[in-house]
Amino acid sequence: MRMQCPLGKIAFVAPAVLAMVPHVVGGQGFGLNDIGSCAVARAYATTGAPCRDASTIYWNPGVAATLSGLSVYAGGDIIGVMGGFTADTTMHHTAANVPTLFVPSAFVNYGGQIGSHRASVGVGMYVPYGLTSQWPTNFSGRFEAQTASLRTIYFQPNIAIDVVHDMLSIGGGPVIGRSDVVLDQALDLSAVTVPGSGGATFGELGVPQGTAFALAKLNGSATAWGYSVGALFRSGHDFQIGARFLSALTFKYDNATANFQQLPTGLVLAGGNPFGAPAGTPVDALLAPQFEAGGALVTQPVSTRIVHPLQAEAGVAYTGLPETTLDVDYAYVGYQSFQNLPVIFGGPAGAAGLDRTLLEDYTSSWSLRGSAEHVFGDSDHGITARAGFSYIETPAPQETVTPLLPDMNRYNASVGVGVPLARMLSLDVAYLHVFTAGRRGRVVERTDSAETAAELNSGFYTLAADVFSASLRLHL
Amino acid sequence: MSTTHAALRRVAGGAFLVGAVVGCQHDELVSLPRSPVNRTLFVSYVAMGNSITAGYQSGGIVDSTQQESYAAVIARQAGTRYAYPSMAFPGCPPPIVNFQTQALLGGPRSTDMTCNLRSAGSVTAILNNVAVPGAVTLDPTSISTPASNPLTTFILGGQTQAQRALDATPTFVSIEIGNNDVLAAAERGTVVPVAAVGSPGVTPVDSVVAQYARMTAVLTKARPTLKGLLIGVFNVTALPSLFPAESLYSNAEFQAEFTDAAGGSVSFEPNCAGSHALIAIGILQFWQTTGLPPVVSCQAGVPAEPYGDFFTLDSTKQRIIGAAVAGYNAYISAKADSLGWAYVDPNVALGALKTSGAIPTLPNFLSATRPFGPYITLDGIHPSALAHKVLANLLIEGINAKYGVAIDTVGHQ
Repeated sequence: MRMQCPLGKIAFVAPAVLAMVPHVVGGQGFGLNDIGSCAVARAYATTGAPCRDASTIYWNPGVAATLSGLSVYAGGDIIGVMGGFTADTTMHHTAANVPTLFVPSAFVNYGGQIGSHRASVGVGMYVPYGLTSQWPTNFSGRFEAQTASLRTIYFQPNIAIDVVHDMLSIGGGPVIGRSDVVLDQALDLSAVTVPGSGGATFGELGVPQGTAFALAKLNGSATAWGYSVGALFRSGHDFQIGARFLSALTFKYDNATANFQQLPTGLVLAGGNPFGAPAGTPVDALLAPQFEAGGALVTQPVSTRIVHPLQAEAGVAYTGLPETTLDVDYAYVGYQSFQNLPVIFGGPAGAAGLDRTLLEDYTSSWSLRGSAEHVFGDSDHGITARAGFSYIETPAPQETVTPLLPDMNRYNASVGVGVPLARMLSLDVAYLHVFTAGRRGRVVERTDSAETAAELNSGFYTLAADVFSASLRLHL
Repeated sequence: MSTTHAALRRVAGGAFLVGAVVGCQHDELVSLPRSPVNRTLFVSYVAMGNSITAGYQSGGIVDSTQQESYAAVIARQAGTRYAYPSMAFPGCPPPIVNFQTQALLGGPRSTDMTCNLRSAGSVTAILNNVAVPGAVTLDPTSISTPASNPLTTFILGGQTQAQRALDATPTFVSIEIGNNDVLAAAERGTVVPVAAVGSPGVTPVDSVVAQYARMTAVLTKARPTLKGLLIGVFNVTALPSLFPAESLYSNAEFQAEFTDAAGGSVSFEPNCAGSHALIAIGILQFWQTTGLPPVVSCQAGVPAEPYGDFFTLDSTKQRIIGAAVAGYNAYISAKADSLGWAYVDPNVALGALKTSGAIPTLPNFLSATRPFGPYITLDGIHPSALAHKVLANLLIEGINAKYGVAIDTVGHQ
């Protein structure tokens, strides 16, 4: 018999640690574009013709120079995600239960004159990447992610200058990112290697796939640096071209912690079992020592690295119609930097050979965005109506559509309005809906790059989201 | 000639019927296009049972034999998903591939202790065949019983058959259980428990009824709309591993082959004439392992115990076993009626094959690959691929008649 195995130290084919899941809102991958209600109302088509508020520090840092005086723009987005997974074999549908999310942003800019040039200084706080995923505890994909969140806040000091008056303005600044990641993930006993078995897994001894025996709870934080620049070029009075670039930031979560909680499997061994255990022995009793001192699944440090990809966006705007702005943008996100997720344990799990690398294999992504804005009434104090539409090409290959991030092509449609509340205070509100066609995906881990989507994918993910956004604009 | 002993060592499982065992594939999942049947009755099919349902053949089980189970045939014909616990090559244990040499699949390195575990690719959350070789009626709702063995864990992984079946949220279940409640008694000639030969005796009908009722109650309580097929218990005394003792006296050629298989010397007591007793082929191994001088006797205690008793079924024992099988099947049939499920008695087909000679009355000790004919594998008990097709067609006809569906039968090859 190949299998003669009193249970010793278990080698765990460990968790998909420290990956993440999207709010699945307007951005591609784990990107979030919900930065400022004006931008939301315009489906993020705001680089060619930035909104006349301080959020331009993100959308086009160069345009901040054209804002005179003190500008404050602050608000937030409430995001509701609807989604689920329908399994091929049982047609069972599992609805995701992602909690309603709040994503804040705030910008302050002060514009003045440096000689004959308009210039500004400012600072922005925004969330360009962030993800939250939550699935029921009995979801078959809970081994990829049961609960996951990635919250990354960028702080961006910004300076801008109108290099050529009313023709070319440029700006930019450093970006300091702070990222917090949390992942709760069930561990599948069937994938665990049994010692003394020549590499056989518990699954090969009969344990059903999807037998949760532990919940891995991982959390960590990291800081990274980068930069953001932008420029706006005006050609006469009717056309303008804008562009921005946000560098990639590499977050190294070196101080993350992994905790493990044993879950009851309910499995009880029959007589004559290959473990040599007496009939009626609970499997949980065999596993319990792994959660105690000396076991592999005790609290221990873990580290990983997540690259937040670069963003490059350019747009053309037409302002030849009275009180109207039309904008078309093209955005590129360098998701090819998200190839894998290394998971390195700093404790007994690592010593037991549990370090691993999750295969992601993302490719670069692009989106096309269009928007229109019209001011009713006075150009400075009228009511502004906005609408937009955008298409986002997913960066996730068909092999990497998972509970962590069931990414798919998206369509965003949005409307919004800006209403003056006082002479220097106005309110922007917006609504955006994310449409998708759904996509086939997997609930199991991909352990070999040779594994194909046809071999891995076992169901269909659906996804939709609603974004409600409100921001106050103060201009002194 | 080599002995047939080892072939009989692993008469572990269910009841009846064979073929050559070939290599191993890992195509454990069968999914066919949608059809009227798999959209309704067979949305999710689960087969419960013992070694026959599991696909045990020639004293072993491996992926290729599992694919030949009648349950696999039914699933294919119904166009429904069929995931089974594929046992990796050469098997667990490997089947016999040569009756005379007792060679096992996998070559000289294979022994009857060899087990290469489940195929990694067959590890799945949901199985459509949860049958376990050796299972008795007590097993489907029990974590562990005296019949539990390594395959119980390899297939069920710490759950019961009923639990594993319900994991599949079945719409249709077939149940073939009860053969092992009489098989060991028949093969070892002991209708009462005798530890010395590893026989639990004949399970009382009342006990089988209680366990069977418990099993169906568990299933229907969890799945009130469940439909199913109950398969009767095989008349195990009709298996070719049991042959008429009188043949050893009336058929000189057969007697010579038998004597040779026993090592060249056998004494024949005259009490078998007119006895209608059956001799289990396992008697050859019994003599070898115990060192008892080979003596054929049809009267218990003659010339001494345990001659004429162990591995010998006199008329009384045959009647006891026959009555038990009849009692089991009367209940199973009535249970099917009360549930509104289909019931099929496999003994009609078994009897026809026996009567026609397709299943021979006497084993052919000179055949390496077909000592029990084309329908029974090399252990003298388990059905071949051909027999599984016959059985599948019988069951399909029963399903079609009961549920008004039109599942195609499969051609015999």
